Amino acid sequence: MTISLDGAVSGANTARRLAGGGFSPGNLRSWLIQAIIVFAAYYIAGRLGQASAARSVSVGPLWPAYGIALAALLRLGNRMIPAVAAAAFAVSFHNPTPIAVVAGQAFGTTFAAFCGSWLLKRFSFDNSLSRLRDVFNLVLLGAVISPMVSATLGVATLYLAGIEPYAHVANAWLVYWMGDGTGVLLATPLALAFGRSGLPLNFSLLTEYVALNALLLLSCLAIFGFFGLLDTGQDSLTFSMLPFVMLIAFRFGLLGTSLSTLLIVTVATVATGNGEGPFARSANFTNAALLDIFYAVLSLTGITLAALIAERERAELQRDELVRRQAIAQVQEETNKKAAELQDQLAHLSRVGMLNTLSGALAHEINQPLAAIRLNTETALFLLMRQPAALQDLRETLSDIREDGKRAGDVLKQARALLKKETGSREEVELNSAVSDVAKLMHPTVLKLGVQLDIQLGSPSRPIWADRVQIQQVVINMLMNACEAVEQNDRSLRLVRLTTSFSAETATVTVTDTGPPISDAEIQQLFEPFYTTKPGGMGLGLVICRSIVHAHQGKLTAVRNPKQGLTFTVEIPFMGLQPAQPLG
Amino acid sequence: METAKPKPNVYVIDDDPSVRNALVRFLLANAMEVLAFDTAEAFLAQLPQLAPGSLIVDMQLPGMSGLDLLTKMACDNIRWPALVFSGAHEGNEAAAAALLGPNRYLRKPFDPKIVLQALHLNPGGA
Repeated sequence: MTISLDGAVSGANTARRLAGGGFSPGNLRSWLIQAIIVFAAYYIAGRLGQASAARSVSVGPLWPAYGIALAALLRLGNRMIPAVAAAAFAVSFHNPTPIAVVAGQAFGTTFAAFCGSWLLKRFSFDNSLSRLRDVFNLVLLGAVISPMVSATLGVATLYLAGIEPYAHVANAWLVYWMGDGTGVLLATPLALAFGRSGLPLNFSLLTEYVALNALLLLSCLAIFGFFGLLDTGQDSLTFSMLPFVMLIAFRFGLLGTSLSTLLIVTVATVATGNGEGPFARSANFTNAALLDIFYAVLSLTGITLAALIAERERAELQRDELVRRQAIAQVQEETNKKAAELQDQLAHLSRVGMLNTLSGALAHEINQPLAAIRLNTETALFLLMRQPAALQDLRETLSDIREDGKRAGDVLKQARALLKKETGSREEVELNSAVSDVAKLMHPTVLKLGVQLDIQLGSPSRPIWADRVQIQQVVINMLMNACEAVEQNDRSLRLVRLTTSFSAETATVTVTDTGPPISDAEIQQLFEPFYTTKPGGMGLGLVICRSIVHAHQGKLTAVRNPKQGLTFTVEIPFMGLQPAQPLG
Repeated sequence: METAKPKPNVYVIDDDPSVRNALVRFLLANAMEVLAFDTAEAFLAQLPQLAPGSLIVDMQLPGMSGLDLLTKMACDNIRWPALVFSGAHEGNEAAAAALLGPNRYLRKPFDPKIVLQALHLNPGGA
């Protein structure tokens, strides 16, 4: 099991928490380990803070422990309150103060950290400190406002117990407040960044970091008088630390800059404690205040820059992602368009092929009325020559000629429509009429193959929104398949049924045949491209049909009948692609 | 026109109403005795009561086809002359029809005069 340093319990724990809830032994164990880490970090930071306050008891110029407390509650949540309180108590216990004061200071620290973390969370603080607003919130709410609570409670406790570390209560409050605030600026980013892999750790990067810090350490030691090289009274020299901090923030982010700042702070604190360096010249209070300001400037510069850079990098990533997505969307759109075009072309070619197969039938359908017209014309001429002319008979004959002429024209119109290339336009289609027209077109084929076609049309509730030609293409395809499937049967068993039916949501066409038995595997294969049982067949008919039906948001399925043969079902939803109906 | 001469009997079997009606009208106008059927089965059912005559049969009929009908009649040794026609042209249908008796094969649309010619030239039809 891994112990996470973040509030979100990882891996097995999450699963267990989701599954059972409550306080399982695993949760307890991870809490215990986190609490020990928090306690240890606070204790070490507290002892270091106490060491920095060599000259004054109880109130140091720098109190990193408070920063640890705030980070612990931010990262691990309020369940770390006991650990923080215990550690604060343990640290204060080292002071020669009454137990009540120890408890009061521990309470003040814990309560202030709680207030700080609560405020930050309210302003949706992100622990990665990778946004400028988070840095701003950390400074304002974490480093300025929340230490006011700890400073007020702590100083009050001290003064109530009669302990006065500085000449004036205001000074004591200020040092207390600045110590905790600087502690937040220094320790909280470090504790928040610690254990998060921000940068890929490779050898050259590590070398660069170590070299930069070595240089920084040397400059720092020189400025704070360790080599006796410089006039250590020159506090303006301390600004030479800034370029280092900035460069490191730029190159190594939050964790890098936090660690380097800690290095400077350590040197400066130790030197000042020993009476060396630019901050050891004045009274205790002034020294403490100057040191705190120095630390705050360093830390603020580092974390602000780190956040700015993180923000910019994220923006660049987002922009790249956006550009990439747009490019993908564009390619997809073009691909879809091209695919739709190709599909239309394929459907058209398929119709051309279908008409080729149907050409005999078409000729028959045109020849029938033509034959009737020739006969009727001959009769009409004959009737005209009679004396007196048989006008009533003549009228009937001419009327039949007119009807047959229309019939031949209709057949040609149908064929032309099926050959039409531009399809894809949707209109209101009366499914029954479209299906009937197809059945008429198929009539000669049906006759020639000796098939008995049974047509049962349901009563339509409303038209479908569809491409009429494409829907007819699908029905012709299904009918031709069905007729060919029953062709080998005895004449009395060549039955094909074509039905339409309508529900509230869908219009359905079924074609049922009494063809030979077919296996499940073969049913699966029916819709695969280039699967065919017909000599000379391409095996694309049903594939194209299915794509047409899909383009209408519908379904094309095949199921085996209980006795024999297959039933193909096309379902077209009414609401498929229909535009919104105008009101009124 | 000799009215004393009995009118020839012609039986039209075609499922397509417009062709069937046109044929009937045309033959009636040409002074023939006409009976029309829409299926081969309907004709066969009436056959025992029918006087001998000529047939005009469409090849493609629902149920029993034109060729099936001629085969059936040939089997029953009824060899009335038939005018067989088809809207869809299949080469061997004509040959098969010719084998089954004194038949002629026509393609739709046909010249109506040929129908008359064929009927009058057939001695069985007169």
